[in-house]
Amino acid sequence: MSRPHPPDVDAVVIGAGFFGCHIALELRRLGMERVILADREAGILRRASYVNQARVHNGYHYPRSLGTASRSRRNFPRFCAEHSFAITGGFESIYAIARHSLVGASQFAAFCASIDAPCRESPAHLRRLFDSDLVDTAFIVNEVAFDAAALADDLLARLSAAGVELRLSTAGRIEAADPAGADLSLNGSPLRAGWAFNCTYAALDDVGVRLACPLKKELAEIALILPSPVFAGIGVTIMDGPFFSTMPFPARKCHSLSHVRYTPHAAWIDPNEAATSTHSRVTKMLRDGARYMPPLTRARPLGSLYDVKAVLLSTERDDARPILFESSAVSRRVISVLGAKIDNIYDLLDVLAHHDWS
Amino acid sequence: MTGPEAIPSAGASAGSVSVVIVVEETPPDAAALTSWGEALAALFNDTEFVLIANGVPSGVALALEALTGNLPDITVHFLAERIDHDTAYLVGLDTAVGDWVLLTELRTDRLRALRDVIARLAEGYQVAIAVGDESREHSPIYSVLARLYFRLYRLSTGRAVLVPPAALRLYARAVALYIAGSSEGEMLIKAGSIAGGFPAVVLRYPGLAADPPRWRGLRGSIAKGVHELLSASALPLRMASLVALATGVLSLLYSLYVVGVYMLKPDVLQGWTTLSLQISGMMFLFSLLFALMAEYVLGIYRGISPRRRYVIVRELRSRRQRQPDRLNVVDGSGVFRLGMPVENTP
Repeated sequence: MSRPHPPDVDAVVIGAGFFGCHIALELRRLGMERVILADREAGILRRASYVNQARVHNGYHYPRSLGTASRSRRNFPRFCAEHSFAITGGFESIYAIARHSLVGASQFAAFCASIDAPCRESPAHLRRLFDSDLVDTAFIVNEVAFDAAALADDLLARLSAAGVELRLSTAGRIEAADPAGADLSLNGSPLRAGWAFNCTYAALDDVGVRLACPLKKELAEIALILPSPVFAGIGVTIMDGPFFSTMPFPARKCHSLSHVRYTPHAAWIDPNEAATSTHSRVTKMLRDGARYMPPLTRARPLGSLYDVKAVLLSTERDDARPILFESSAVSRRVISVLGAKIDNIYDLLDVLAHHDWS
Repeated sequence: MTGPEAIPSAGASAGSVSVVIVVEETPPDAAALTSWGEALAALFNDTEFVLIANGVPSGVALALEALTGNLPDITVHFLAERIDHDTAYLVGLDTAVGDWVLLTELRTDRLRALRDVIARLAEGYQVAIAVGDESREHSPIYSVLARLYFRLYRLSTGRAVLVPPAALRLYARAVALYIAGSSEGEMLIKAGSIAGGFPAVVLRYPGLAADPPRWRGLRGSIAKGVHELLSASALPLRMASLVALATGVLSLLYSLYVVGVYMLKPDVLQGWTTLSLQISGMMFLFSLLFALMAEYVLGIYRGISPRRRYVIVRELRSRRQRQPDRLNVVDGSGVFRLGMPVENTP
C-alpha cells in the first residue's frame, strides 16, 4: 500500500461564509503556513451569511433555550465592539408577545432578568402599532442589526492581510481522507491538505463528507420590504408560536420580513433531495403580519432573497441553535462546521484555539 | 478547566425541562435536588427547578434562600399567601419556560420511572404520566365522597380523574400553557388526558408511590369541589337557564288556566282572575328575562380568558448555573463543549 504523499497545503477551508472566513483566519493565527479558502461563489459572504434577518442576537430570541440565550448574551458586547463598523444600532428593537404565545409576557420579562438582558415595556405610542386582541405586551430590548456587505469588505481585507489564499468561483470537494490529511479537488484540480474544513452550511453533506449528525434543510424566503413611515427606526419581533419579524436590513437599506409559516417553502432531510422552484409568499407574510401590526398593510414589497437553510435535526424541536463541530469518522483531519448565528463565532474560535492539531 | 471539553448530554434532542415543586411546610432536600439535577442534566440540555413557596413560614423561606446560594438552576417564587396546593402548581406552570414541564415530588424511587417516561416522548407524546398501583390513604367516608364527586365531575365535563393519582407528570410546553390558562387547570393536572391534539400516555409502575394525601378539611374540600365543578362546566348555569324557561312556560300555561277558569266557572271570586293573570304574567316575563340573561352571562363567561389571581412577592435565583461555561457548540453526537473560563478568553 502506498503511503499518502505529504500535504500541498496546511489546510483548506471550503465555504467562504462568515464562519469559513473566521476559521481560515484563526488557522493562520494558530501558525498554519498555507491556508486556502475556497468558495463556489464569486465573492465572500454571499449566501447564508447574507440571506438572513441580519440580527445580532442578544439572547432574547431563545427564552426556551437558556444555553443558547446566555451564550448570545455573553458574545453580544464583544461582537458589537469588534464589528462596530458593520453594526446598525439607533433603532428601537421591540419584542412583542402574542397572546397564546409559547412564552408569556411575564415569563419573557423573567427570562430577560435571568440572562441580565435589558428589557422594558414599550411606551404607548409604540404599543399602538399592535392589535391589542392579538398582542399581549411589547418590550423594548437592546438588539442591533449587521450589514453583511460591510462585514464582507472587512473580512476580505483581513484575509488578504493574513495571507489566506482566497479562491473564489471554486467548487471544492473532499475526495478522500486518511489519518494524515485529506485529498480534495478544487474545480477538479487535485490537492492534498493537512486539514480540511467543510463550512458549506447547506451543502455540508454534499461535498464528500458523511455527517453523523443529520441535517434538515429548508428553502427559505426572506422578503425585503419598504415599511410604512411608522416603522422607520423600528425592528419588531412577534413571539412565540405565531412568530414573525421585520428588522432593518442594512445591506439593502430596507427592512427584512420573515414569517415562521411562510418563510420555509420546502423542507427535506435526504441529502440527495433539492428545493423545487417556488413563488414568493411575501403577500401572505404581509397579510398575516398585518393582523398583529395593522400598519404593515402599507408596506411595499421590494423583492425576496432565497437560500437553503440548514438546522441540526436533533435540535429542530427545541429552540437551541448550536454550532456543529464534527470530526469525520474517516479522519479527524476532516472537520465539518455548521454555523448558526454569526455572533456565536467566539464559541467556535474558543474550540479551535484549544483543538488538538497534532 | 484547561480548554474545551465534552460534557454529557444523553438526551440532546430532548430540549430543556422545568421541574415545578410546591413548597409549603418543609423545604426540599438539597441532596434530592442535587441527584435529580444530575439525572435530568443527562436527559435534557437545560434544567431549571421552579420552587413555588406557597405562603411559607420564615424558617422555610430562609432555607430556600440558602438553597439558591448553594445549588444551581433554582428559581424560587414566594407567594404572598397560602393558596390551594394544585393552584400553586399552576403558578409553576405559568412561570416555567422549559420545553417540558415536570410536576413531581423529588423522590429517588421515581428516577427510574422518569427515565422510562422520557424515553416514551420520542414516540411523539405531548403528555406522559406515571402512576403507581396504590391509592392514597384517606378515610373510608372521604374516599366514597371523592369517588362520587369524580364521577359527577366526569358526567358534567367528560374528563376522568386519574386513580391512583399521578406520581410524575411531564407536559410539553404547549400543554403546560394550556393547563395554566384553563379555568379547570387544577383538575386538568389530575387527569390522564388534557385536550384533543395533545397525545397523552399514562404509564403504570407497580410500587410507585403517589404523593401523600393532603387534607384540606371538610369545608375546604367542599369549597374546592364546588368551585372546580362550577368553573369546569357551564352545566349549572345552563340548568338555571332551563329552569327559568320551564318556569316561564308554566306561567304561560297557568295564565291559560286562569282564563279558562274565568270563562267556564260561574262562581269565580271578583279580582282573582286579574290578580292571577298579573302574577303569572310577571312570572313569565321575569323567567324569560332571567333565561335570556343567563345565556348572555354564559356567552360572556366563555369569552373571558380565565386569570388566576396570585401575587409573587419575591423571587430568588441561584447564583450559579449548572453549565455556565458551556459553549454553543456541539459535536456529531449532540454533545456540548465547555469553554475557557471568562477571565481567560481574549
